[in-house]
Amino acid sequence: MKPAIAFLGNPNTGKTTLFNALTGLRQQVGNYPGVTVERKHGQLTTPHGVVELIDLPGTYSLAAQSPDEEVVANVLRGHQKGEQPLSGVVVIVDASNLKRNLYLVSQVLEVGLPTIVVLNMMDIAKRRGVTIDVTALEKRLGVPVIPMKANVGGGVTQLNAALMQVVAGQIKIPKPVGLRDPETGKWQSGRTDACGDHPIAQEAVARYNWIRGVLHGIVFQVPSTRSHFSDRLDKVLTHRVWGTVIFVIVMLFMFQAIYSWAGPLQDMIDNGVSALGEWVGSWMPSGVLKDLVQDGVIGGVGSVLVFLPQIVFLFLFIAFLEDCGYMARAAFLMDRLFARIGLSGKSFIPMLSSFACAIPGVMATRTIENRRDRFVTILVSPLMSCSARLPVYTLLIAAFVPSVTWMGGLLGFQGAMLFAMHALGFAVAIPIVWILKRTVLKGATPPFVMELPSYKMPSLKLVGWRALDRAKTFVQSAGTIILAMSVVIWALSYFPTADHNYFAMMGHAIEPLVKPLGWDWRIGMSVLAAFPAREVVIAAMATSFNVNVADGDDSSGILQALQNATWPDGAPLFGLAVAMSVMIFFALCCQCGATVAIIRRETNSWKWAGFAFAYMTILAYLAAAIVYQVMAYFGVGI
Amino acid sequence: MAMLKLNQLTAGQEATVSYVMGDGPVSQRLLEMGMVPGASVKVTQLSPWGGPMMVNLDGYSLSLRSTEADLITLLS
Ligand SMILES: Nc1nc2c(ncn2[C@@H]2O[C@H](COP(=O)(O)OP(=O)(O)OP(=O)(O)O)[C@@H](O)[C@H]2O)c(=O)[nH]1
Ligand SMILES: [Mg+2]
Repeated sequence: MKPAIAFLGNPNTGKTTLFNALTGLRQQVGNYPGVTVERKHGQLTTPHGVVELIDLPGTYSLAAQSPDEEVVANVLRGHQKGEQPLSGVVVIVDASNLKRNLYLVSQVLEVGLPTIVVLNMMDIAKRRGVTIDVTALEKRLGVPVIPMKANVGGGVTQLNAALMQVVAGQIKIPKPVGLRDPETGKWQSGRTDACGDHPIAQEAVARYNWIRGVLHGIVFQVPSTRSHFSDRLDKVLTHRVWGTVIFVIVMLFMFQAIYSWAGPLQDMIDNGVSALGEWVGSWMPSGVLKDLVQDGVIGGVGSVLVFLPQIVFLFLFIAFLEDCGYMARAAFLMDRLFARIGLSGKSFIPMLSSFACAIPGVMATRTIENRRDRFVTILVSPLMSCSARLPVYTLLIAAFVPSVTWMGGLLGFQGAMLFAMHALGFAVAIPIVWILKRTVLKGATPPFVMELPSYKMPSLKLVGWRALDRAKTFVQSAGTIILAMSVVIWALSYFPTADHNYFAMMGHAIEPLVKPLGWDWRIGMSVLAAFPAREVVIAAMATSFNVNVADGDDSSGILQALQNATWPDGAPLFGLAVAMSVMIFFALCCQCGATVAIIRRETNSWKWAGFAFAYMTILAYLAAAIVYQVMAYFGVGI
Repeated sequence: MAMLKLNQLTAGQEATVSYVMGDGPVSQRLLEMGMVPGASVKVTQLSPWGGPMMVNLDGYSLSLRSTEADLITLLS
């Protein structure tokens, strides 16, 4: 069996950055506590053979309070199912915040495993005027201490050498810190007066006394009077008024930028797809096969792929937020509101991640201590508009919302509408949380104690990787589920005859159901087809509105087809009201098989997965119907 | 003599921690994160109407609500 070595440490100390540097993997890194929520495996090849490295979630203590912290304690003690006993541990500590980080070190030293301490973030410590006598620290801790700058790879060679020593059995098991009286089990806190006699207080005092002793005379701090850049930025960004105002303005710019900047790129892909369609059409013999390839495959998948730039763009932006240190501030800003509805600001981080994709969002709830609060957050996370909704929003907004812009294109009507669609899911989540917390998942408002990491310049490489990875997943899904659904839809609308096909027959059957939303059977079927994955709606619309790639139609072809579509009596099908009702349906509906599956996994129950699916679908239907009916009643956008 | 608590400080004030009350999970986490007797805290940001506060605890930034700050007694 390969020897296994685990990476652990406080949240946000660079464990995953280091893990990636050693294993060549690309696990997610970000500047906020709680990026890694489950253990990840990687391999390191050494001259002594392959070593299994395990990256763990961050934790302040081995006394776990949340599911992600539990994993750390279990792996360390060899209790984790499917995990072998460890051959050693690497504790990654933040050199700029040594004192608190050594708390966990003091606990790990008692576990009885060969241990290496990595002093990461040496660059930040240096910038703050902190100098550390590493040799003295090594002596006092009794384990190897390796200074590191994980983000630029400084120190990796030394760590490699130390890991090899672990494998070779050359690192001794550290001497226990010995803070507890072996006979009475009492903590040697040196005081029983002020700190009360709770064992937990005794333990903390004992450990911090030990830390003071370890650090005494070997850590020097140049006193600085200048306030840190981070603190000054926080004065504005977390201000109760300006903080929120700035957040909203930045979001508005971002969504407008999706139109102004991603648009041209989209046209390029568009031209490529049409060219491919025409080229295939020029040599394939006419027949079923040609129709399948041209309309089913290229028309379906191509119409969805066109939205790649928008999605990459959104991801670049979210990755930027995640790596600059803003995520924890957003949680801080939101805590007041969340406390009112029965959660804490901590729940906002999974919700923000869900704007990229609900799957990592649902997983990110593992940092939430209380099971009920965690479930509430899981149930509302899919309401946040993920990147898979972006194609349908951008298409319908481009087709039915006037493109008026102000301030030289920085702010615009279309961008504002896109912003509104993203705000909708959040606005709806608030009352849902309130209701859930008072009914099925009743419970007290959880506490809010959270570390706020310093701001930093996001790493271009990391942000780029994130966007690239997302682009890959998107293209992959286009090649699998979207392709499969496109072919199914194409086949249904091709047989038995083009004029009298199954797709239309099914459509006419369900039309009464979608009529109240202002939809005809073609919209109804397209939306229905998108239940396994939202992006499919574009492919389905391309088919049901007869957009023909072979004739050089492209996504502006879909756009025009929608604009020109009519009811059988010749009245225009789409107007702003129908576009709104479709978009609102997409904003609120749980049209994603993968999300249902992850909810099932994370709650360990089909009941909750089914509940999420059912409530979102009903909500989506009702909201879309109400908005359409109200707009129709007042004759707006018909 | 009334005890001074962390949630009674105003923005910019500094103090030394005396002890953390209670033995629940929040108290435990606060202790583990360094709210131990002798630690220095400085309030860097307050948000009125029940919003959380931001403090600097021995060199790092921590946010907590007034209810949590109420558990922390200071040396006066
Ligand atoms: N300046 C500096 N930044 C670093 C260093 N190592 C990591 N970082 C950055 O610190 C942040 C946190 O890194 P991660 O690797 O995600 O930290 P983690 O310990 O895995 O965090 P969790 O999974 O949340 O516990 C990222 O923004 C990294 O780019 C370093 O040595 N110096
Ligand atoms: Mg990590």
